[in-house]
Amino acid sequence: MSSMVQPPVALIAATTGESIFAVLFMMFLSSAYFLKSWRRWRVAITLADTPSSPPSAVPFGRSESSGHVGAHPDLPPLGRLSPAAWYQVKLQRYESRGKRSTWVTRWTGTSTRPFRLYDASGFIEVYPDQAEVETQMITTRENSLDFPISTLAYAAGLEPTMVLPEKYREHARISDMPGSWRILEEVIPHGTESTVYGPVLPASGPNPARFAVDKSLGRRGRLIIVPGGEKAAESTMSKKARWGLLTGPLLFAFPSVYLVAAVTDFAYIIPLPFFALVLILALPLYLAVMIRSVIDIYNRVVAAVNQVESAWSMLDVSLARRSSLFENLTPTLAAALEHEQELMRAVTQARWSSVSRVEVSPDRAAAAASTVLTPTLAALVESYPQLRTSENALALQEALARSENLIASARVGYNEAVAIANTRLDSFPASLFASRFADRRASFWSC
Amino acid sequence: MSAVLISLLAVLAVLSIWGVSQYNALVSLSNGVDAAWSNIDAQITRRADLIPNLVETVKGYAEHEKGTLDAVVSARALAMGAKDPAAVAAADGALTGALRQLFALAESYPQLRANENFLQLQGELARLEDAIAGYRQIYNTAVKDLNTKREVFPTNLVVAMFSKFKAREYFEATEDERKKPIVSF
Repeated sequence: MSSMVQPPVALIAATTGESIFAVLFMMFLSSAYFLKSWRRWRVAITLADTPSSPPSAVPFGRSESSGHVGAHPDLPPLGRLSPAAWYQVKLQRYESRGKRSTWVTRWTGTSTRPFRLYDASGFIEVYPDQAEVETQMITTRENSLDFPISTLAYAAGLEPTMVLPEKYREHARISDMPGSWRILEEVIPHGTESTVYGPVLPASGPNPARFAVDKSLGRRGRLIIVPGGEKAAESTMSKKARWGLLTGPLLFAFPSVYLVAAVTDFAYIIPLPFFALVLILALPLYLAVMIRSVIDIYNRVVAAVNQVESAWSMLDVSLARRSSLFENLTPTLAAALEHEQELMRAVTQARWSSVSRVEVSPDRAAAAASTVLTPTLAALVESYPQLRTSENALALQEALARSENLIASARVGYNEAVAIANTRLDSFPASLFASRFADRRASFWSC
Repeated sequence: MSAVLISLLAVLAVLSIWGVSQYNALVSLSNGVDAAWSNIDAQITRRADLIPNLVETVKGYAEHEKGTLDAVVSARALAMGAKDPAAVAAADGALTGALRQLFALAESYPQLRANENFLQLQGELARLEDAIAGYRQIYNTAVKDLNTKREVFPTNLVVAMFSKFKAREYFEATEDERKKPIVSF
């Protein structure tokens, strides 16, 4: 009883002897382990909830990605339509086919505005007119009221004018033709679980990867899109983190129970050596935690250094792609331009030479020609084939831009990897190993 | 003594099981690298096989279009140039001549559509390059995984025991490929 009045530390020291230091060290170790796991778990949770760093060096291939459909920042809210990520508008007409009458879809429009698909590791931008989207929750609404198609079209991200084929434009106001036309509106609301299929194309700019459909590749298994860098490693460590959250408190419990037993009257019920024995038996666990921490520090440095080398090679991949692409594209466009130019020249020459071959008697012909064939009339009736290779030139411009964007993304990814590797090599515990990697240390990209 | 021996054997057993699993992991990763490399070759072969035939097809259509247009134009020119003695001698020969000029100008020619073929060729070239770049990226990731696994602490002991797990090289672009292309027409 009087022992409870003395200062706690002296009391504990008196009860446990030199083992107090070991006990305190065990408590310190287990709480550090627990705190580290807690931090990793928090990071993983945060990553799952919000978009993380942009995926640089996203692996390619046919992939499926599942997640929640989210808003594109540019999508405007509209009064009567629920804000949704994806719209499809169908114009249907009630037609009789033989004996039966049924609704027949005459025209379908799909929204083109991209939406984002968030999954545990980040987000991708989906262009719905180019991807296959599968979801359970397509809401279909029938709209046969006086809702003009132009408004629906605007909501769907289509051009409000020139939306419908010519022959249906007269039916733009459904209420004018009751019972014969209807508009079906299919929407995927925000927050819906969806799966998007498509090959992952190079990211353009600092934005995430863009989906497009290349049906020739077929579906080929699951690819998880994970952003590059430290955050990627963190996101896969949530399992390890949860393990640490369990064992940390457990390891803290052993020495604390021992301490509590040492200073209270527990010793009368269960003798103290019992707790000491438990502690000694649990020693390997603490050794394991210490050794594991050291190994982890070394392994993280290894992973970071290898990531740098991989990122440099990804940059090379994008450079090689640009080089071989333009080796082939430039002559193609040149050939297309030359072909069109030659045709136009041939047409013009042939036309004017045939015209000049017509003989007219000078006196009355001159009078007639000056009235009939005035320059204005001539200009009006001339018709030449359209010049259409501007589409080809536009495609080349877009390919140029995409290639450069890919290269810039690869450089950004390389720089991120270098930053992480250098940080790990320089921070305290790992800098002891840094001499082993001195020759593999990289610097930031510069031109 | 026998207890010590048994515990020693137990430790050895655990170590060898663990060693075997690390060995298998290395084998699997190195097979992944080989598979990825072979996939790149498949894509490059696809490009090499596809491009010449595509180019020939586009050229063929372009020549067909030019030939057809030439034929149309020369046939019309021939028709226009044909002289009908009776018509020429007619009183309103001048008006006919002027009308002929008008017809000549108003003639519409078939649409030039070869640019769509060229456009498709451009798109296909871009897709082929995307596929090659994509599989190179997959190869790089596989090499990174293998190299990391080789160097990580527990596994590098297994690697030291067997010489068959060599560090793999990443994809490297040549100096020419690193230069930027000059587009000029």
